[in-house]
Amino acid sequence: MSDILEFAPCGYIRFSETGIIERINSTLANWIGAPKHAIEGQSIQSLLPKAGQIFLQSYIFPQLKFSADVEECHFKLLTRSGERIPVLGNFYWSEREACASSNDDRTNQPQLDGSTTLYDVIIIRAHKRHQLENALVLAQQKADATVRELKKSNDSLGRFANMVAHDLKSPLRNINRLAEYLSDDYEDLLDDDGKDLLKKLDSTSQQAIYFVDKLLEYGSLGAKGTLEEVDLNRVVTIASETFSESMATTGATLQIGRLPTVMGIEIQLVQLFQNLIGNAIKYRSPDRSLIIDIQATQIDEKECKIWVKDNGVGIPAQYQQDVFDILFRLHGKDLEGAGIGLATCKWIVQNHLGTIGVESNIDEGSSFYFTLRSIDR
Amino acid sequence: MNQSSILDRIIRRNNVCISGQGDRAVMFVHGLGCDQRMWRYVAPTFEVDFKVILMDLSGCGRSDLSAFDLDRYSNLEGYAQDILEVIAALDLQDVVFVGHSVSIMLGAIASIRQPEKFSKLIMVAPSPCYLNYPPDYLGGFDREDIEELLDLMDKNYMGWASFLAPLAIDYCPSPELAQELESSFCSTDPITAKAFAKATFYADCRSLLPEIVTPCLVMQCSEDALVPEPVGEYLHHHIPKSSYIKLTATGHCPHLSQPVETAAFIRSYISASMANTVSRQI
Repeated sequence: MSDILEFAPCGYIRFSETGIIERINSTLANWIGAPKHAIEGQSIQSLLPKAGQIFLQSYIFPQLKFSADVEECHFKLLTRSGERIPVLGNFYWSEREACASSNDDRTNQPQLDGSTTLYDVIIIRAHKRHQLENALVLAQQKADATVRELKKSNDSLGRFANMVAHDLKSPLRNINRLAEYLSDDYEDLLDDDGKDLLKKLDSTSQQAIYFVDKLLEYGSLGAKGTLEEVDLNRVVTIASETFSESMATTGATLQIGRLPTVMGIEIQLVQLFQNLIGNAIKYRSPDRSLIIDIQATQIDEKECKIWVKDNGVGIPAQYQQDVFDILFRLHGKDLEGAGIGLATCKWIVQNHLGTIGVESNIDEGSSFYFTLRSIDR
Repeated sequence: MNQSSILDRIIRRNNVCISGQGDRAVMFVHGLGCDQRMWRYVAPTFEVDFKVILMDLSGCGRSDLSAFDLDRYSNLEGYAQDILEVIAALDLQDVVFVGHSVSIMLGAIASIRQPEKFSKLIMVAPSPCYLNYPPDYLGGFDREDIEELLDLMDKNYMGWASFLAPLAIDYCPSPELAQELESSFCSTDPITAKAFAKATFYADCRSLLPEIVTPCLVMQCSEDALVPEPVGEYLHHHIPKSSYIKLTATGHCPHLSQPVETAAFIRSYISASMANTVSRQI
């Protein structure tokens, strides 16, 4: 062995196929705490704790035998005093040069002639790396456990929502049915106001049933949902029904252009339009009757842009960026609302891989727009 | 799902490879830490006169990782069930089962469940239990040793998720990627590898041994770091129809280190008639 390797700042071993140590350098012998002659001739297993012996036998030897050199293997050396030294080792077939020139036959040819293959190993100590990696392994395990917990709680939340939706469905059906009975049997006894209330009871409960149905459908699709063809004309009709009363009382008009069929999740798109229409009604101008105009333009083959335009009070330029943030309230506590309507809109549009924005002028009105995927024609 | 696609799925799941000329089936099953390549020096010598069946146990080698179920493979039963399913899928009878290391217990479990499917069990470097249960049984390892092994696997597989996983997910990677995978000693998904290591080292199949009715050959290696010599003798003593042979091959993988000797012993045991088989009833 060359003098350079003998005292090099790394351990070196050469061992045979049967695991017998043919050579060891002084550096490594010092780490082990035994004279070289007491190590040479022994099995390489004698330098390893039991776990390392299993790892060597089950994972390293077969790999060396088949094809590759083994690099950056983590293991521990067992010193004569019983200490463990964490190390990194590279295992090389010692006659690799000769082999490369003969078509790398060693992968298919066992040594049948009694000669034995030799392996060279270079070992460096890795105390600090070992500590770092311990910390990493722990952090990884913690992160994995958190992800599992999160998934579990999401799943149970989903199941809970599904269960509640299920439970709500039959009482809602009953309310709707009772309203029908009331209307069939007692309508004549009611005055006009009473009849009107009954009608509203009927339509409101029907809408609630629609939402619960959609919620169940959505829950069964999983949180991501599957995009399907949705006719926006139908979506806007459903969404605007919610506001038929408030629109009538405020004298608002809804103008709807020809809307496309898009790829989307219907219940989310209904919510989107409900939020935008509700917003327009909430922020209407006291000086003029509200006109809401819903139009669509095709951007290209794959994408369309939808406008929901009003002639309301408008949004000051400096706030136009912020209105989609959760809990942003432009008008203080004057108007009802939880401040999550437009944030919901943003979430829904993003969930459809679209973008949402607003153009607005004070006292002229706001124009909310968003993009959706058109169906492929 | 129809019958043929179920069979197809089983074949694919365990990357089953069939070769050879004969009618009689010899099935080679690898042990911990590797895959069917472990038999590459031994199995081909049987192709002349046997039907040779090779497979990768679930979670190993080129098995279908997407079919890996942590529950099913949390103990040896799940792996043994796979072996029976492969035998059923290929409609094999009188199988000679050759197992290395832990897989001999898979063969044993399978043969106890469906003895009619097996004609012989050949156990290379076998152990029914790797843990020490002093004073009666010394399998070679304490629980702490196994914990340390699992920790060692964690360290060595650390880069797996970010680097190797994307390659392994593809069931049939390109030749370059396959090469890349093969040349890495930690090419198995660490989750499946650890599941197999746990199922192996925490298993105790000693109580099953008297139930094995199929004739067995116990092949004990010399100086096997994983299987102390008394373990082979223990197996021979507790398996009703067993023969015992001690190999000169050292280490845990005689089929790699001494393939010729190993293949010769396997062959002579297969061809020995039942009458010549050394059997010992207990």
